[in-house]
This record gives sequence, C-alpha cells and structure tokens, in this order.
Amino acid sequence: MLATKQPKFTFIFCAAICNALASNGILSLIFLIRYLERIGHQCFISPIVREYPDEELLFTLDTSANSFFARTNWAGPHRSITGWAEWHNHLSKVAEAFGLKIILDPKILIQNGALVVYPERIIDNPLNAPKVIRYFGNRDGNLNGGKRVNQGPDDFILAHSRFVHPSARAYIFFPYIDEAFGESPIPWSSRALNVAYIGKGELYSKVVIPKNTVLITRKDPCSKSELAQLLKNSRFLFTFDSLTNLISESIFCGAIPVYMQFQPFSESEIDDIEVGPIPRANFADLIVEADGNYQFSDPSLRTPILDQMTRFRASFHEFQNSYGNSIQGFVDKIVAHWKL
Amino acid sequence: MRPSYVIFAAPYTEKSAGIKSLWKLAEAIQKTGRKAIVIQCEIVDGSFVACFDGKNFLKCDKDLIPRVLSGLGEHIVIHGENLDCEYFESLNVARYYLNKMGFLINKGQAREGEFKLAYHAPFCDDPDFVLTQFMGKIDLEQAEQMTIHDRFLNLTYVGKGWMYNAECPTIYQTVLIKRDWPETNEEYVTLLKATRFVLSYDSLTSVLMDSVLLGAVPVILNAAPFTKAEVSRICGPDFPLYFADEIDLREFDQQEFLQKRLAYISYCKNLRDSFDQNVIDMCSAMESFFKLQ
Repeated sequence: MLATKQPKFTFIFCAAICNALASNGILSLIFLIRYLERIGHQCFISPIVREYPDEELLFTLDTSANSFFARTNWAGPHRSITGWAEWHNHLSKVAEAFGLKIILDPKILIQNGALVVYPERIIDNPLNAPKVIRYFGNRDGNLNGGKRVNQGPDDFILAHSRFVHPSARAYIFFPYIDEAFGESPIPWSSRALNVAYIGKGELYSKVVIPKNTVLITRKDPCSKSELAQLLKNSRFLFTFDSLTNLISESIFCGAIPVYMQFQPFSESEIDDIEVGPIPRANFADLIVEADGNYQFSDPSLRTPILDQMTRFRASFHEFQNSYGNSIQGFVDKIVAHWKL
Repeated sequence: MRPSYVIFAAPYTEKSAGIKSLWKLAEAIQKTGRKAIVIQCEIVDGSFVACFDGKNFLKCDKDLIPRVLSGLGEHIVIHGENLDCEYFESLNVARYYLNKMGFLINKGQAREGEFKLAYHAPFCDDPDFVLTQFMGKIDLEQAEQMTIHDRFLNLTYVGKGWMYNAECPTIYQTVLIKRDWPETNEEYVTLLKATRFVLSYDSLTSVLMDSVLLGAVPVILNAAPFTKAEVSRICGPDFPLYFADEIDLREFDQQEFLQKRLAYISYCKNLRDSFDQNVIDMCSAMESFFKLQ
C-alpha cells in the first residue's frame, strides 16, 4: 500500500555491473533495482568500465568500429578500451540475465531530476548529477587503497549495514543467498574436504593457505551449484576475506567458517552485522588428522558452533523477509531528504 | 663412443603428462651414462620453432635442425608423435608415440626409417620398443597405505575430451576440474582424496590414473577417439576401468574397485622400479637400429 503513496522516481545506477557474478555488492544493487522497479520506479544502468582511479564511463557500444569508448567525465577525453569484445559480451549477458536497462547518455534524465546511485568504489561524481545517493557496500576507502569518497554536502548516504557505515541515512541489508546453497545431506563428521578463500584478504594481510585445502577463487568453481557441492562436502572454510558472502554460503551448506584474519575490521566488529554474530571456529582450536582432514582438538567445541549456524540461517531468513520493508523505508527517507 | 641423445620437447609443464614424459626420459638417459639434451620447441601459429641457445626460439625450416646438430657427432633425436618429419629428414629419429598419430591438435607426418617408440603398444603399429612411464604425482607407498573412507563428492573432467565430443557439459551435481584448477598439485591431490567418482570426457589422461591412486573411481564418459577395447589395452589389465554407459553408479561395487586399485598400485610400482633398466634396453635397441654401436 505504501508503494502507491510514494512519488515515482528515476534512478540511474552508475556501477561496474559486469562484476555482478563475482561481487555481492554489485549483486545487492541489482536486487535493489529489481525491487524498486517492482514498486513502480524506473531504473537504468550507466555502466562504469573501470572504477577508481579511472572512473571511466561507458559512452558508446559501437562495436562496428571495433572499439568502444569511455570518458572520465562529460568533458573529458575519449579513450579506446582494449578487450572491448569480451567486455561488451559480458555486459550484455549480465544485462540480459537480470533484465537491466543500459543507458549510455543519461544527461537528459539527470536534467529531469533522476537520482544517481554510486557504490562507494566510485569516488567522484562522474555523471555530474545534482542528486547523488552514495551506496556503501563496504567501508569508505577499504577497496580504493584508502582513498575516500568525495561526498557532496547534499548527498544521501545509504549503506548495506551499520557495520560498514555507522551514520547512514538509510540501511538496506541485503541478505542474499543463492538457492544452490542449502542443507547438505552429508553429516559434518563424514566430510572429507576443507576449502580456503583469499578474495579481498590479500589487500590486508599476508596469505598462507593452510595445507590440505582446496583454494576457491573468484573464478573457480565457475558456477554456484559447483561451489555449493564443494561447500557441502567441506568441514571448514578458511577465509582470508572477512567480508564476503561466501561466509554465509558456507554456513548455509554446513561448512564452518574459520577467519584467517579480520582486517580491515576487528573481530568484535565482525559480530556487529545485522544477522547477528557469525558462527566460526578458531584456527588454533583445530588439528590435522592422519589422513590430512581437519578436526576440532576438543570435539565438544563442534556442537555449539553447528547450533549457532542453525540460528544464523534462521536470522538470515528473517532479514530476507523484511528486505522489501527496508527499501520502502529508504524511498521514504529520500523523499524527506530532498523534500521531493 | 656412445651416441648423444637430443630430445625435442615443449617447455616443461606439470599440466601435460606427455611433455613431462619427454623431459623425464632425458634425465633417465643421462642416468645411463649417455649424453642427453633437451631442445625446447613449440608450434606457434602453425610454425615450428625451437630454442637452441636457451634464450631465443627460431623458426625452423627443413635445413636448420640438421645444420645445428651437425657438430654433435653421432646422435639420435627423440621427439613426440606430433612433430613433422620434414624438419628431421637426414637424422636418426626415434618418434615417441605419446598418443595415436593425428589424435592431437598438432598432427605430424612420420617417414620410413624412424625408430617407433610407443608409450603404450596400441599407439602405433609394430612398435620397435614400448616405454611406458609411471607419471603419477603420488607416492605409491602412501597410496597403498591410504584408508579410503566414504566419499560423496563427484567431479567432471573435460581435458582433451572437447576435441571428440560436440559438447562437454559439467555432469549434474559434480564439480568441474580443469587444467588450471585446482591450481597446485597439492590442492589437486587433496580434492581427489575427497572424491568418489571422476567422470571424464578424456579417455587418455593422467587424471584417471591419479584418481585410482587417490581412491577416486574413474568413469569414462566417452572412449573417443579410441575404442573401448583400445582404452582397455592402454590402461592395462590391472586398471579399474569403468565406462559410464556400462555401470550403474548407484549400485557401484566399491570392494571390487578397492581390490583392483591395490593391484594397479603394484603394477605402477613395477613400472616405476623397472624404468631405469627399460631405458637402458631402449637405448640399446635404438643404437642397434641405427647401427651406432
């Protein structure tokens, strides 16, 4: 009912949408777009070719010229992008898969009042939009080598979680889990595998992969269902990335997360996330068995963690159910912020 | 004076058993007291290039290799089955059939007078010598002692299978392993040690052998380009060989597999332990063939 009372807006999401399958932050924007469209708003993607420090916008998709061009801002120079065919192909696939509308020249829409959403990886305002929504999927500067967002005084701050931005005007916690990740029929003690993940962890710490593990990368395994198969056969996920959806996926498949480091966060901050403390084991509490598999040195540590994982999954589902309400609340706050 | 051996091999990689076997052969020949060198070569965009100085690859014509090797004294050239004879016309050549002629992307031509060295007997007609190598990445004694617990993970492997199958979809509820994933040998071994079935589109790959040694059951999805009988001969009588269209994986006889696996480990140990003597015999056979003794 609330949706019918709200004015309808046009949103332009200026983001590296190509990364949708590798980045939960981008995926969260796509789900936001889909929900906004469902309640009557209009959404477009203005694709970013490269994020910080280039912040190059896609300008034309003229594949006949055997290149496409990007520019750093409206007045900036045009540059030919190498690898255009692969990039274009990838962009088209993502847009088609998620039903996204690409806009290459959003100037008119912006002049007519469209709201532009930038993820925190976009530092400046490459579309020169007067009404800017800054979406923080991670802490300011974490993924840009410490360089912080050039926030305008009138920008609207939206964040994924209090954990990443303590004083945002609105929060939309995105509790996404692919349906491939679910209960495993394989009892935890019968699992013969352990997996490791580096992800963003190499930005913050030295990485030494624990022995007798298989490394999951951003690229491999190449599908969610294969990743789920690995996790459903794993006792532990050793993660160097302390903020990745892989941790939730692991918990849903019954593999216990082990943080190999917490940077750029502290251990207590990790537990501040909306769904509650993240169930995990300490690496120091584990031993390697004769066959190379990992086990708790004290077997009594296991059951409480598996119980916490059950509670985490329930809490996650509750947040999934309230996702729509948080978006309605976000739109209400936009109306109030700009007195629209 | 014994002849020298010149082995033409692609740059070393852990990812190809064929390439590794050429490099391993060079080492084994050196152990017999003979001189053996490896000349790295590749086929790049249809051109055959070789590196004679350890730095630069030169495009070869039919005169270059005989000219470069002319100062070497008596020698025997060994190369894989996929190289063309035109670059080695006037030389004593042993063609090492690491696969059947023409089954790989690079297809060479043989000529009269070559010594036919076969990795497995079915790879060429009337081989002059068969030299099979143990190319496993696993310690056989450890494999023999390994306890095989229940396993639930299944893998798909494509490898060279893409050349012989119109499509190679990842089998439902399996994980696709590739030449570049898992990235390290240790991870590869860890994964196979947790695996029940390896479903392979490639019917001639060391992945099948590694699977057996690590307790995973190899299941061939398509024997092509070989016949099932040829695959069976290549793998040998002790190899626990399964074809997907002949077995029901839900009623798989694990005990029978485990027994065959132990027999296969014994076969591999024999292969490993007799390799040095086999190389001595191979050199004698070649030197006799080319009348260099």
